[in-house]
Amino acid sequence: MGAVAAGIPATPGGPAPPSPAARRARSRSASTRHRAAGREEKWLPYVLTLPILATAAVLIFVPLGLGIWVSFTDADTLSPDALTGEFTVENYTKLVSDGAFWNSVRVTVVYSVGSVLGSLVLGLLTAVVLNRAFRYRGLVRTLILLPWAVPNVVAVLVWVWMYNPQHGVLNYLLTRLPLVDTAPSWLSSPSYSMLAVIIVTVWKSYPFSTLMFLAGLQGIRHDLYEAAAIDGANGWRQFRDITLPGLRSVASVVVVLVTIWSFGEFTFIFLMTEGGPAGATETLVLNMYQRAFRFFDASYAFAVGMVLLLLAVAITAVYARITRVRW
Amino acid sequence: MTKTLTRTSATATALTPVPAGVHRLARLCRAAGLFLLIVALVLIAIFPIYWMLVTSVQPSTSLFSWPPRLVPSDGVSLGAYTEMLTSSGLLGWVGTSIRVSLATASISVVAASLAAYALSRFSFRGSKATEIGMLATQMFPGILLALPMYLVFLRLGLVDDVNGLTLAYLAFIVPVSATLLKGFFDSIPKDLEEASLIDGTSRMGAFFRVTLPLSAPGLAATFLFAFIVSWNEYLFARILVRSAENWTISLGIASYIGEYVTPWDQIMAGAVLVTLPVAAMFLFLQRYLLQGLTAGAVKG
Repeated sequence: MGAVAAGIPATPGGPAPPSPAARRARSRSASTRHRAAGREEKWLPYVLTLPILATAAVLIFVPLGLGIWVSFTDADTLSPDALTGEFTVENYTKLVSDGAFWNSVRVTVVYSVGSVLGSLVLGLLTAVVLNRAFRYRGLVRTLILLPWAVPNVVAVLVWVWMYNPQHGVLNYLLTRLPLVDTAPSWLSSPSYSMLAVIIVTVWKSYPFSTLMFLAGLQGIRHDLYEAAAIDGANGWRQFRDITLPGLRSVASVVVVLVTIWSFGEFTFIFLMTEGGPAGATETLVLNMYQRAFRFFDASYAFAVGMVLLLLAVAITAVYARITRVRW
Repeated sequence: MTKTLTRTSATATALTPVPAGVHRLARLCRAAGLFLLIVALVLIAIFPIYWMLVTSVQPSTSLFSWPPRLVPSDGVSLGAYTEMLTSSGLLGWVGTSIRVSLATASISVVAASLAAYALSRFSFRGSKATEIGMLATQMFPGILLALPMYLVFLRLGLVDDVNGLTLAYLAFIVPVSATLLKGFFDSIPKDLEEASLIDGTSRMGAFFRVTLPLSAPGLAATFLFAFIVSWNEYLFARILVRSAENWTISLGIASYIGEYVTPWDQIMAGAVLVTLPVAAMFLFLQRYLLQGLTAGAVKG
């Protein structure tokens, strides 16, 4: 769902709406002039939002609710019969002692932390460079944003080709480097597959952090740097004491969003490793998918899904907290 | 930033007696360092894309040559493109994807603009909750939606159906579209609408004749956004579509992965063809997306 998510944080855009009181006053004065229009104001918003609420109810809340229900049943087929299972909490007691489940919890954490760190560091570095004035900056900016515009499946294809152990360009370039004589078989190696998957995730997602940081940098007041320069602070001190603190709120938004996306990531991992080799890249999402479509154990898959849901809710709560403080 | 930096060095020169030559050398080193850093960052970003292009025009005989040809020195061949366009399922997948994406984007824009207008112009009971709810739909992993949807769609006969896939896409694209559009509507002054209300136009009349035409760029951006998301989507398509004749473009080109013999030149040619239209839209769009994306985060 990465690409969708790329658009979400849009909410707080635009100028602040006038206070409700002012709005009420205005609509009241309009309604004295036009009684019909005034009555219209009462029901119109509900009519306008009805389509979207109905869509959400039928297509989001019903499936989510069903998922919660199925996780508490003994359904073991992936068919509509799964909706008529008997109530039990066995799936959850089974989870506690399931080694594969705990492995995927660990893998999810490693994958998310790696993706977030990579995206954060590369994004910040790129943003700081792009924030300087140099010739062809516009062109460089566009080039650096390109990975974001590449469809996820295409990104996977290109990287799988580059990772190819025999003919891949990546191993060729690596062996040309001094001091490197390993040519890992990236995707089929238990020790390198996680790195390989994280690299692709970071490559696709860091332009988002770059743009966020770039906007953040432009929001830092210039006179702070001038004052620091007069006080004799060098470039590094200025970066540490002005730039980094100034980017704190942007950084926290980036961290939470990239965490959420990597939590739910399916396409990259599924197409590159299917969670393998030997579970080395099997995140909770992949674990859930394999439970459902390889073992057809619907209720157990949904129990894994509920853990995923709880974690997502927790991260969302953090996000809501950060954004409420800031916005 | 540069201005500040030059001023820093100017202050430094004034304070500490450093020979002018040393100073110039330091500045030169810094410029060279910056240049190398820019080159490295650009390479990280575009090398995979460059490699996709180079592979796609490589004559298939030199595809597996070692060392790999970093530039197409064995000549340029468009054979992979003609092969992809004539004897693969590519055009069929593109057709399906266009159908799904157009339907998703059109319905999304209509449904989302009504809701976004209501949220932007009225404060009514539940408006805040609706807004938060729309955001929340984006926060949980797609598979939590896709899997139960699969069970429901099985019962309704919507699995392996292009309309079913469209319906699934609407579930998570309509809320984002509404969020985006609300931002656009918020930026259009209310005075214009109010003027036409005083002239006796109805609310909806004002919406259709004043606000909607003014937000044409926003509507276009939202349409393109919804189009791109459905064009690129893989998870829901993978779960809800079975037979090859209903494959979208994502499913089609992903199906080459894991084949026993992999014609990488053709796959890369297909990848280029699939990427070009959406990447162009995306680059056009990112400016609009960004306004919405960053406005909040920067204020703090």
